[in-house]
Amino acid sequence: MTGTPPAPGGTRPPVIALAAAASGAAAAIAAVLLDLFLLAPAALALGALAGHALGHLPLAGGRALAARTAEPPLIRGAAAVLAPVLGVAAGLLTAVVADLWLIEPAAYGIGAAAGGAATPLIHRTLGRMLALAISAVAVAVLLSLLVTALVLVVTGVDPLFAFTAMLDHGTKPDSIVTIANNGSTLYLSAVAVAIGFKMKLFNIGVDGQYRLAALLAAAVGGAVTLPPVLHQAVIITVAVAVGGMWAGLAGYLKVARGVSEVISTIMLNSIATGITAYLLTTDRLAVEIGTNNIGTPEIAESGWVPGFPMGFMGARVDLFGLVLLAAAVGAGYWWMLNRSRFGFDLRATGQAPEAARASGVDVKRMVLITMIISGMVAGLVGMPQLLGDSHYYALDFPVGLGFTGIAIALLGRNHPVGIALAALFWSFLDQSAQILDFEGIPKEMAVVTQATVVLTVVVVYEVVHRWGRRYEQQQVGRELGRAEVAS
Amino acid sequence: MSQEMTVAVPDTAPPRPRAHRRWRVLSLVLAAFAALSAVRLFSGQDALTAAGTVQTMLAYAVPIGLAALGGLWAERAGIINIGLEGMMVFGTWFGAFAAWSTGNPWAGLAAGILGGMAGGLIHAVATVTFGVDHIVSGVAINILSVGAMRYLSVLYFMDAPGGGAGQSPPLPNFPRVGLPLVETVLGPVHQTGWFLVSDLAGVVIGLTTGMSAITLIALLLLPASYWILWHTRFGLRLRSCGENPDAAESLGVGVYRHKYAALLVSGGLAGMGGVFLAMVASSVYQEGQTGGRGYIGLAAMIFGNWRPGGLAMGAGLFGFTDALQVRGQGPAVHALLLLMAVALLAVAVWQWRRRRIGPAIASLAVAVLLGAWYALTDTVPGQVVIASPYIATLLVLALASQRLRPPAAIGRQWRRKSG
Repeated sequence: MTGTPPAPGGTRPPVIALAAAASGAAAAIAAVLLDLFLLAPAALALGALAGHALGHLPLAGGRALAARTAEPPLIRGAAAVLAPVLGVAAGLLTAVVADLWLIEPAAYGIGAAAGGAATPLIHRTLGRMLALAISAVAVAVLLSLLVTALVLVVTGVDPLFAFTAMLDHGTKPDSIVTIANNGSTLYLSAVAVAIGFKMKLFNIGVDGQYRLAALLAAAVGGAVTLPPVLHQAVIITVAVAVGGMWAGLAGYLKVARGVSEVISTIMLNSIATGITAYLLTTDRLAVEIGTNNIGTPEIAESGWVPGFPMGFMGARVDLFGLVLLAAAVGAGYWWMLNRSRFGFDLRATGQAPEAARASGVDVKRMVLITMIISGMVAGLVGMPQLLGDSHYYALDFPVGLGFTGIAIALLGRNHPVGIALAALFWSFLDQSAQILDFEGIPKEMAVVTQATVVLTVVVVYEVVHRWGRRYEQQQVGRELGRAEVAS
Repeated sequence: MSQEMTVAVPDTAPPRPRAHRRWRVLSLVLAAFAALSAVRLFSGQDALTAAGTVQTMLAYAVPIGLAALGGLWAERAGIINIGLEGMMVFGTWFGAFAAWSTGNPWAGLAAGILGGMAGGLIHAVATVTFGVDHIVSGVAINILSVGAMRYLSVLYFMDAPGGGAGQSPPLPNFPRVGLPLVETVLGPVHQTGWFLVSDLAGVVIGLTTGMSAITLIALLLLPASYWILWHTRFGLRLRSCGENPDAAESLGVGVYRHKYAALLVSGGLAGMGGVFLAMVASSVYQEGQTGGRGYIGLAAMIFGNWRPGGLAMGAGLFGFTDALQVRGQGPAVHALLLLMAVALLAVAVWQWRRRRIGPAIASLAVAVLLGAWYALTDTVPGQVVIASPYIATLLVLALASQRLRPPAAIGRQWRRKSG
């Protein structure tokens, strides 16, 4: 590696920011100019790419790229491809959202600016492992779309038509809000699973934990009437406590009696089903709600969490207020993993339990606490739905979110941002597939895509990971060999 | 340099001779049966040992047992197979589809087994070839199976007469087999209500009459699996892959090949369990028909300490509580409370004699609670009955998990060292 050594860290950020701003502006201008001749999205893509190219010019972004030259060509290649792609994607997303309340050229101009500004930033900051992970996920998504297209062709449907219909429906204002709403629920579920995954603990029981927690929280919330903030706090506290306790049971059994948490959480799921069925009868916690449905008494309005009205972008659906809770949990998860002693111990125990034990980590205690925290987050899963929409726990309360959470945690590689994207992707497929039924195509096609993407992502990630590791080993071997010759 | 020095830990207790262990298990089973008979006599709940209950128990135990057997094959080769549930779903759908489209139940059986094997193959490719974490891959297969089968149902069953988005048209039945004369001879004995004799007659009738052909095959697969895994060269090699793949490889065993074979068999057995659910336990395919039986099968296998006999007992326990719930309803399960209280009392005495005061007192306390529950109520709510096998499994695992011995290299993402 004879390239220029990376510049000292302190001087970089302003240069990058300058480069980003310059390329963003260039992108916007290019997009608006091109818009006169081309379709808006194409113009945006070209504009963003122009911004990306500008980022490569030595006067502005040259130094931004300097740091990359120290990396192996494989990673450099991946980053060089990923940055513009991600940049254009970010630009398009911005444009679609902006388009909802602005005129088209302006919206796409803004989108191009965002995309153009994002590319140099992404190119600079994309970490090595992250670049590999994103490539893996991208490959898996492409593969699964291919498989879905194949399935569609075999069953006699034009895949292009199906995908266009889905894209159209999925980007309608109402759909976007619904995707965000459902995505927040899925996100909470996936974070609950991911906390365990980080320590090689498989909390298959998120499903039972959130259902039991939601039922008891709804019952408590319906039974008492408290002043606004306190009321929600009580409901959420009950949910968190129940979820934590139910998962803690599995944690205790693992620590004290050596019972595999996989089996015990599966058993606890079924037991939770029995308990909810037992409690949710009119003799006990439930009252009649409409025809053929029973549920807990409705929570008084002081316990609701109001949604954000989204009329400004043309949506008739409110955004759940508890989307903020999901975001906070995500931020908390990130902080816990990367900034806290506990998170360090957690990751250490997950990657090398023996080494962690040798360095003084009480592994048993970690297992118990991790299980409880995972369950506490699981307890929150039902809250956006309960406090933001239905206000009671009835027979038709959504089930199976815990299992979806496992899939999303796998797809998002347990990374707080990755999970968020995976949850939105999942929710997008769910929502956009609704239109297919009207077109005479089974909407279950989306489930095929979801399932394939999960299966392919685990395989592709494993392959890419192994590939990257071997590459690294070769690099190290080469460097060591050279060092020996030099000495 | 001597970083890798290890200290050999001697086994704490020398293994008892096999014959001794066998007698102990047999006498325990007999004692449990006698206790059950006594409870039947005392509580008047004839459903506890009725021939019909035994038949229903078989109907519930067979799919769980097949899943457990599938789990046994996979785990003996060192691969955790939590994807059994998904493989069963494949079995239900493909079995139903083939049986419906050809009108021949045996074609359904073959297709169901092949469908399950396809699931096993996916698991093998992911875990063995690509080294994906076993649980991750299994969970992914379960998700895949539900989605793919729902899609196929919408496509193929929706427009068929009697079918729907989550349901197949009615399916053909398997022939029923049974010994002649048994019921006419033993029927009157069963009716007498004598202690033990009548109960035994009920069990024999239940086990020899009106059995679906596939039930018989499933029952025969149990000793067959035992023989293959423990008495053939192939079985020894397969188990060596689950105990110590490095040693197996160094002796020239094709570890990957054996793991693939194990997972194919595992998937096939689970698929057969699925066929049973769709075509024997019911006569249509329904979405969600497996109802977590793949997971339960796994639990039954762990319950049975990764042994064929043990897993049969585990599957039988699940089947028995399910059957009681269907045939005897709450009162019959209520009678079981008494049995459990007596059993826990025995455990308490045994623990006390071994000078383990804490567990003894705990068992005694639970026994008293159960006894009080029995004395103060007449029936058990249906929802508690549904949950009872899961609670039982959890309790057994909590009490006995230290005595369980899984294959040593289970769950390991093993890579071969040679080329």
